[in-house]
Amino acid sequence: MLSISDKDYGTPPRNASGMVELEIDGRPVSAPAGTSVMRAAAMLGVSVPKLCATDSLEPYGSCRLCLVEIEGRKGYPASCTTPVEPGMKVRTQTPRVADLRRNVMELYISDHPLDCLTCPANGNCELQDMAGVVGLRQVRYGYDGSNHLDAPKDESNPYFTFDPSKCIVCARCVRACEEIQGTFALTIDGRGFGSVISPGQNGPFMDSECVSCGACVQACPTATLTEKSLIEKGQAEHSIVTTCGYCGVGCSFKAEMKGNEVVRMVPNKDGMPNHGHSCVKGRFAWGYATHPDRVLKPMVRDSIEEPWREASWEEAIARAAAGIKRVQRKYGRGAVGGITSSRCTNEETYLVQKMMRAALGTNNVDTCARVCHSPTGYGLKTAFGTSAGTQDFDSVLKADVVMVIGANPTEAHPVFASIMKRRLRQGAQLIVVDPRRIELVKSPHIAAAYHLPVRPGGNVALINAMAHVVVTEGLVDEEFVRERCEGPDFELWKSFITQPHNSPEAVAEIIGVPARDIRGAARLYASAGNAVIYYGLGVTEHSQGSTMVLGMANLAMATGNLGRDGVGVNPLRGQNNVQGSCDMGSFPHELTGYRHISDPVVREMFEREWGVKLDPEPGLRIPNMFDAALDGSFKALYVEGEDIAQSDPNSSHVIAALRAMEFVVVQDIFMNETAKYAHVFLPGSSFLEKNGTFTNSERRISLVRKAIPPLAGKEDWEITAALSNALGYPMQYRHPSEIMDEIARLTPTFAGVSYDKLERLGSVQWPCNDAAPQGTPVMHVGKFVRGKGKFTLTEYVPTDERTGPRYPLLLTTGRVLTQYNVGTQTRRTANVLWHSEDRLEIHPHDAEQRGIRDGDWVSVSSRAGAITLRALVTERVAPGVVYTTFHHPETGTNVVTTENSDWATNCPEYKVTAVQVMPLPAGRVPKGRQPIPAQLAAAK
Amino acid sequence: MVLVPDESRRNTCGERSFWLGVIRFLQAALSTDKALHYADGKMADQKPIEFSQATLKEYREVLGRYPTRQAALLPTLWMAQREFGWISEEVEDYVARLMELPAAHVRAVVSFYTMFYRKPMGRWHLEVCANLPCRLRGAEQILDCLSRKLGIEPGETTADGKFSLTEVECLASCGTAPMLQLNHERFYENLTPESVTNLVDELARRVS
Repeated sequence: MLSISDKDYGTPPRNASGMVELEIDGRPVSAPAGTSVMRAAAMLGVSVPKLCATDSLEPYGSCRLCLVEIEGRKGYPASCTTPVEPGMKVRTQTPRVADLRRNVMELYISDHPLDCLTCPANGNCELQDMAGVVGLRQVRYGYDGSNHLDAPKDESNPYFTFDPSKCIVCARCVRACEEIQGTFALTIDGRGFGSVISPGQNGPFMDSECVSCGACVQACPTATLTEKSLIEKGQAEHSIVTTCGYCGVGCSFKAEMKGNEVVRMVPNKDGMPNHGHSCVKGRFAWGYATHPDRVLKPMVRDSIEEPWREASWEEAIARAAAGIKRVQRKYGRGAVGGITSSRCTNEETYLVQKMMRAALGTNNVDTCARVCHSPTGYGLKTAFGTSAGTQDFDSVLKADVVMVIGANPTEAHPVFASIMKRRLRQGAQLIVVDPRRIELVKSPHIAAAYHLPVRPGGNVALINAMAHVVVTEGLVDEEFVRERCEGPDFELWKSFITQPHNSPEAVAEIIGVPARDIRGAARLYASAGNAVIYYGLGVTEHSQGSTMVLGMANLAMATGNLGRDGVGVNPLRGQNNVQGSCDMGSFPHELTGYRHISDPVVREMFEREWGVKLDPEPGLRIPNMFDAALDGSFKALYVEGEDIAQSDPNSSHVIAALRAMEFVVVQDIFMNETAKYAHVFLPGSSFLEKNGTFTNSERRISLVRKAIPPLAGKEDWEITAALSNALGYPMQYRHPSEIMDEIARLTPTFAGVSYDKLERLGSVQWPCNDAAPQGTPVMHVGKFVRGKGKFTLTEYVPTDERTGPRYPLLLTTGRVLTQYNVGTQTRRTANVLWHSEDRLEIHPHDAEQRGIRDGDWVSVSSRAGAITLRALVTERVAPGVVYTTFHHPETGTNVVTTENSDWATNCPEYKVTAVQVMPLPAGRVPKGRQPIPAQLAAAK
Repeated sequence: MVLVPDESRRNTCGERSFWLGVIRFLQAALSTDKALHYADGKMADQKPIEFSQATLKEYREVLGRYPTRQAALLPTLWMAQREFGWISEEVEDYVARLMELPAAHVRAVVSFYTMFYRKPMGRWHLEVCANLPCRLRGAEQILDCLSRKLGIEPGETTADGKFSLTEVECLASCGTAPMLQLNHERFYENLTPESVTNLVDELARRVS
């Protein structure tokens, strides 16, 4: 059902330029051509009764409740399917249509349970509302004939129920699954009176292709599809608009509340990234916020061998401050450092880096974006002048060719994937560059024109070969290059890229992609009207991650695919605030807005505002911190919101580094793996418990609003401020809006951002300043931020991580839809029903060679370490490549990943690890690794 | 698990059911012209359901005649019914995978058209026209006679699997009413109770 506060116009808006004048109930109205009579009426404030229409779906015309009279027309047309016409005179209320509507309602109600008072939809049911609106007083047909009242309920999905006895077969769910989500899991089975809504072939929801995005639940006008949380708790009484805490799409949600209890999360129809759509994580998997595992009291201990002891906030903060100070006294200023997470708000990450730099006098501060998108920051800044994607999400709806490189949007960015799939269904062409055959390669209505299954580590060779084709076949957009890019750099690049070793034929063998396909894909990309690149960590997490980002920028510039709608180079950020945490000066070498710490003008500005002298030398990056800890020169760490012991590569190395430190402070909502090596634990707050902002992949700053008070008593920014105060550097903010005001004062790209503006506009995309007071959806229009676009030479250098006789396979890693990163959140929800363990995907050929059958336990060893997990034999991966996820700590996937990293930014090479895979002796199950029945039970 | 309401409860007569039927018919009709999807298969583990080489060849030819794959679904389902006798859930799965369509879409189409059989049919399938001209010329008597003779109601199959009896809409042979169609192939016209009794006897002999 719709959110309690949503207004529904019945049919979607039309964007035609021409306006049509008509008259509805004697009142003049003007609506864009193509608008339905129903919507035009709603614009006037006249609600025409309806059941099968809702403004998120195309009109359908089946419920027969919205009939109207139109002067000069025969019969009673449905107002949802009738477009407005000039001079039309519509009457929405006449005795005749009232009779017709009442009769239709009588038919519906004659086959509907009369249990309104005990029905979960009571209070927010469109059928109930319409019965009231049409004045239903009796049901002349009676209730005795055949009916669907005994149809059994399907409760297979952990988050919602399907009760067909309450279904009116309006097909809103079927259409939502098709039009909005693009999964095509639902249909109508049968005909006439026997028609029923059917998941797949009329089986349970959980056995169908359903991805549990919730679009059908949202669309249902009755209690047929209802959230289990709503059934349990009853209708909400107020709602709070906030931003999802999962991936970098940054969906806007309404948290529907009852006092301080969340009843359900409903995607916000006015939310710009998602337009009322959602995925299984954001919509349903928020129960971790109140999971019993939450630590609600600060904890302290003197050594990591001791058990934890509860402490007051005062004591814990005082101990944390004293410990850090002690280390600094003993080992020097630079012996301490801080790590923040892309899970934190902008204000929180800003405060942490401010505390490190201003209160502790060190630039040793880094963010977990180091291990995902730091090459994006470096590459896009070098080429275009700013470290961010070039487009807004909706821009994809204008693209003619979409190239997806090293990203799996249907799993990792599902809501954006749905928008992209809509465009692909409209006919845009698709190129997928991925070692695996991801779902986009072939899915409902979508087939990639090219799937280039590049061998892990071969990205740069591939993008160079594509550019080689563009240049040698005369597909360069000469005018764009001449006017918009640095001429000498282009000439240099041109002579580099045309060298024979960059030709498709020269690299085909090395990267495992036929030259013919490389040429075809390059031609398709270069000759499209609008071609756009979306990429993910399959690009960045390589030893040549930054080179690949530059390579894509080169290709986009050479073909003129920048600076307008429908084109661009766009990172898909893994976490909710990767973009924001990078913007906020979380890197050791940069202050906010990507300005180098060594720049005296910038530094002086901050020194004035903060009242301290800043160190002009960049501090340590995360991997350097670990190395320095093992060398004995780095002794204390403050980590907020990141589980470095699980998510950083080569876990054993990370753990050794943590053990080598004298003092570790962890701030998190759960006692995570890293906390095992900590001395003070500060209990943080989930996204539901605090105010702040997140910045998504499209540079959109959205408000995170406090829906419930912080369970442990403090919002994260308050904890950091308290720590800073205890360290002797006062931070006196009363609200995160004051932190944002400070950010705006110090950062030209944020100069126009304020909470007032965010309240007013809903969200805003930076740069937002005097030049662009409403924000900037598309960047580099007319001129690059750096002036002229810069081509960079991108020589392909194979990674040191190579296969050999000992480690003959290449392991690459990724995410699945229902789980999120190291699973801290999703493992504590019913999402484990879909992905209860990490499995190793292996090609049948490689499996057979090793005697591995589907489901067998196998060991995966690399030069860094070894893990055990179960095999999944599938042709989704190419021979020679294996794949797994890293959601479960018992798998410990990052034990095998190595400390190889990007040459420019130290982003770890998670995506390429040479491994050997061997079956465990028959019948041997690793200790404690039965497929997790306890967890499944807990989730239920 | 099948969630369809019990067949016996789905009757039909009465103004209310008729109009409810009209509404649901509209809804179903409007829902069947969409969709496409790759269905990953969950086949029954008995004998594999697959088209013969000849049918596969025919399928590929048919596919070439249509602008999109889903447009070729109806002729493909005809081939499947010819090949397997009826459209089981496994056959739906097979067709979905073969055509890279969502299983849900195949189900929608199969369940919408009454001429796709969703249960096994007899060796001899008698389809008796019961539209107006045939009815005026005694179609009801013909149906009664066949029902009694075979011991089944229209819509049923004899226990020995030899005969199925169905009441169908107009078969465009009103000039020779009443009439029936055998196995989608052959018309028997100007029927009388005697002629259908003889027909049944003869067919019964042919299978035994």
